Amino acid sequence: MSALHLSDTIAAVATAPGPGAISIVRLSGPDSLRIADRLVAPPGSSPSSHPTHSFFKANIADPLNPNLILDQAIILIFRAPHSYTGDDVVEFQIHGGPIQSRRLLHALLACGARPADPGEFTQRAFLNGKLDLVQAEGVADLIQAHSERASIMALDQINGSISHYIKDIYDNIMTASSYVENSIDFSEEDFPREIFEKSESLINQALGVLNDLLASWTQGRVIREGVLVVITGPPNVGKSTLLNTLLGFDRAIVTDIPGTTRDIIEEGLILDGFQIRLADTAGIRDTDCKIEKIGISQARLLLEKADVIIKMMDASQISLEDELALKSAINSEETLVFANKTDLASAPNLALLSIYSQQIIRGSLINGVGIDELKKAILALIKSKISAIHSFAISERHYSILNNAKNEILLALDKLPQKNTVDLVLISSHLRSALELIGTINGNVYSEQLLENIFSRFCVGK
Amino acid sequence: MTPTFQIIVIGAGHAGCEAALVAARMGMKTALITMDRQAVARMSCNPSIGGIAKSHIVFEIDQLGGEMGKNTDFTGIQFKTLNTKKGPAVQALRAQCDKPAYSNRMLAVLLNTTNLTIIESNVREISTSNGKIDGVILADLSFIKGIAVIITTGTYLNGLIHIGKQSFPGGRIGEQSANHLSSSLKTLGFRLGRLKTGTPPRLHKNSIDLRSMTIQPGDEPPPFFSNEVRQLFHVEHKIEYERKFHVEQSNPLRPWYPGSCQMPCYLTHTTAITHSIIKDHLSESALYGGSISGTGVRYCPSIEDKIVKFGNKECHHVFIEPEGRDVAEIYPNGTSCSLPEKIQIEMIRSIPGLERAEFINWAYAIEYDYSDPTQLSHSLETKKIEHLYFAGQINGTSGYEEAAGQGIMAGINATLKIRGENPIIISRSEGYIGVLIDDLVTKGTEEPYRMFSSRAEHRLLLRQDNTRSRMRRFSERVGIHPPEYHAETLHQEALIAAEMVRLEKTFHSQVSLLQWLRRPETRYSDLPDIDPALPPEIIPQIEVAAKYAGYIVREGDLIARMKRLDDRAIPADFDYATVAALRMEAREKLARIRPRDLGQAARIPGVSPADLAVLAVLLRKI
Ligand SMILES: Nc1nc2c(ncn2[C@@H]2O[C@H](COP(=O)(O)OP(=O)(O)OP(=O)(O)O)[C@@H](O)[C@H]2O)c(=O)[nH]1
Ligand SMILES: [Mg+2]
Repeated sequence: MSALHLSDTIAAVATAPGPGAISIVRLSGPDSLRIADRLVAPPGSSPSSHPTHSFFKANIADPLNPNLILDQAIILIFRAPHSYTGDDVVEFQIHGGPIQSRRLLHALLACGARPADPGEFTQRAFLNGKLDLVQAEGVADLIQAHSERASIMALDQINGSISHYIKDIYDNIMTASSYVENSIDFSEEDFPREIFEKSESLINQALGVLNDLLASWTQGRVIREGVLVVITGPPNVGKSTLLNTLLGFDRAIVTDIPGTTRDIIEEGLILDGFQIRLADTAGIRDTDCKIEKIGISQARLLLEKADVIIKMMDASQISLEDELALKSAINSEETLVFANKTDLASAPNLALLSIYSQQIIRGSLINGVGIDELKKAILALIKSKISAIHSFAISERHYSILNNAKNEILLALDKLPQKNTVDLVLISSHLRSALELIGTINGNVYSEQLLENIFSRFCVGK
Repeated sequence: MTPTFQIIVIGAGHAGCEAALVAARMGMKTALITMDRQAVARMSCNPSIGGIAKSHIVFEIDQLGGEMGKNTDFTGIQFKTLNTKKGPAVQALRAQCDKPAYSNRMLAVLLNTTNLTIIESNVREISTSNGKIDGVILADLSFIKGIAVIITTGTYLNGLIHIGKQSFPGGRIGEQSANHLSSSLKTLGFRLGRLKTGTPPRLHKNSIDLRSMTIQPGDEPPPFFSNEVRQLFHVEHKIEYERKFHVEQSNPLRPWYPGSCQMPCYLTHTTAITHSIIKDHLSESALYGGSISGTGVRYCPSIEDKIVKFGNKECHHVFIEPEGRDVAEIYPNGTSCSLPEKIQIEMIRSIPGLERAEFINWAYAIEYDYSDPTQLSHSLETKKIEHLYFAGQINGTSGYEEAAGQGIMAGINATLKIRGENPIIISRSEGYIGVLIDDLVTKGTEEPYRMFSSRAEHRLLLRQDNTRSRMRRFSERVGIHPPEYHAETLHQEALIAAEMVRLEKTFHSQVSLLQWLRRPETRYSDLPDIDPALPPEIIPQIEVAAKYAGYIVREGDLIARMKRLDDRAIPADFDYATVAALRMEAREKLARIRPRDLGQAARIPGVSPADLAVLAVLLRKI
């Protein structure tokens, strides 16, 4: 029976739907070459006559109607076991367009392939021993990665760079746990203090590494989901203008009427490889307007979540509030101050700004002044936030597992020094739970959930 | 006419006695074959029963209707609770027994059991027809017919005793070994391996100077293993009884008032001289001289082992334990070795208090054949031959308790099978016996298997105090305890539940009694408002239920999670060989052991979580 699971050949369109320069249709399984042979229009050479890791150009025809040429394709051959899935794989790169790729897929199905389930290619790779679970999870992340940085991070996981730290934690807790077990099963002493001291120091070591890993999550989130950059400031200082300038197209309405922007306007943007979510908000001021009030309170909420805040002011009219706000902004780690409209600013105002010259970026958006400097400052801020304590970051799933493990470890520590009786069984129970949690990350512990999680996140074709 | 039985038990050690007794008590016509009836249930090594994790097995045996607990309580000369300060789940009872009294009482019990016949002989061969048991052939070539056979031959299979460079065949010192049976099992196609164990010398008690040693008395009042003794012999009666007490031992079933006149043990230690003597003569030791091929007990190591492996420890404990009230031998626990006689004398006499020790028996190591227990299913029946069961040391375990626990289960399951009923399989979350058997049949063992609390992942639930409830379901099926007994168990469970509610609802200075009881070191009797009518034996369960509340819930979740794996059955004909993603080792192990389900597969050493994930993905596709 077990031959059943890999005995059929699966096919799917591997590229995302929608317009694109080329589409890839992928075929994997023992019949891949035979099926592919049937598609090549004469006088093209048959795929099965080509060695592994080779490619060639051929016309592909509808097998039911060999005179109907579907497309011209580059055909790539990967023979088992030297392919992504470990089975024979044939990839067709054809000209873009959903119609073309769908027609090719239908032709493959007509020749005996079966449509692949989501994640099935990776699942096969896994079943053929080409990938382990942790790597498979990395693949799932990679597919979902929005930016280059996120994919570097996912690749790190595929290559196993956090496993070193996880192993460290796991080993220390394991050793501590074995001291505790030893004292339960073998020690005639009622209260082996020495053992507690040894375990305690091991547990604390593990906790240190664990905390570092947890800290890296914040950075990781920034990379994966994008950095939230929020533009704020009084009405009419040019916030919407800045949004449009950075995006490179007119997204927000710009007028000279204070209070133009009410809703939050958010757009994605990639700056030097970093995924950024740029948000323009309502200008903050006292107002009786109901709509504007709502906008302002939304803006305030968003500011709390922001990774980077660009605080804008009008260089031509510096108020006392501006000055106060400046002082607090300068002490904050996530705030940049941008003084716009220097083209209108008077000499005394410019002089006032120069007191803070280090911290304030000056510019005139309508004249294109200061924009590069501002971009640099934003990037510097982002980089400082994810400045490598570690060159990696853990995923959200790892974060929540490690956080739970940390709680278990803290509970175990908490139970250690109770007068002269100690419930070793409870300490051991917490340590075991921690081990079990951590073990699901490095594959030391089997987890149904992980399996579920990995293969359900894939789209068809990977 | 050929003598005919339903169940034939070969070997009357701790496993064999339990197997034969339970089968006979369940109504099976049972034969117990032993070379020497005076040697039944002999304590061939240390004089104690119980200890951490092992005591749990004894409690479980008692609840199932076995004899070990009672036999220990009636013939014990010292009772002690261990691990009193490490948490209720790992508290354990250990008793020192009077060795001759222990054997004598067991023999009396066997002789008094209806349906049970003791046959003094040696088994030559297991007789089968068409892959089924039909009986056994004895040394005199006579045939005994039987439906089921349980083999509990301990260390007798091909036993080889080593003292220094000398070695000679034997099952125990002074007893012959069983070699024909070993080849009979090989002929039947069983994989046998080789293990070793050892025992310390026996010294004469009058040659020992106790003054330099630390005395280790038993607990007063003495704790007991068996329900019967706990119920019948109240401490209050004891004082009165003791006044009249004198050792007559005329009644082997009740040699003395249980728990009376406890005898202490003594503690001494090895010295630097001891260590250097051993180091100087390591090459003469059977173990280190290389004449033993079997794997030894890692956790009950010989003194050579301790000195080689823990070289930085300056001294090791030696416990001086009496072997009985009227027995000359004392047992110097911790000095097991296979050194030549002359060196044994030197080594022992370097220990404080043993300077003038006289030897009654030499220490020796013994090597013996065992059968790879993965050849058994969870009922302890062999997978190869129907109605053939293995129990005890033959399965690679060490220890009286582990043997007895398997013995009683083999006896029960052989009986149930003959009756056409399903076997009783205790799960890992229900009893230490369940852990023991699942470990053996799933993991096998490469060294003598000893039970530890850490082997039981659900040990928070597997406590001594709740054994009666844990075993109720199984005990009812076995049917040795009367129905009223189980009704009382249920009643106790109801009392506990009701008292937990009362504790939760009753407040004293704004604190519920339950919260009160949760405080560390608070006992039920410390509460400002207790129910004096509650039977004392359920009090520990109430205390634990309060203190472990959250943990017990957690454990329940864990069991549910594990159960999901246990529910994923693996088809019996699953073809592991063709699954490329399974590592080679996993493929081999899985094909050999053929786990019932994903849960069991998970516990097979050599099957990694990644292998398990592969199986899980595949099982979903079937
Ligand atoms: N002179 C000058 N005018 C500018 C500059 N930048 C923006 N403006 C003008 O200032 C006015 C307000 O610009 P917006 O971008 O709508 O300002 P805002 O901060 O979004 O205003 P609200 O949405 O009302 O809070 C517009 O008329 C812009 O053309 C600049 O650098 N110099
Ligand atoms: Mg605006």
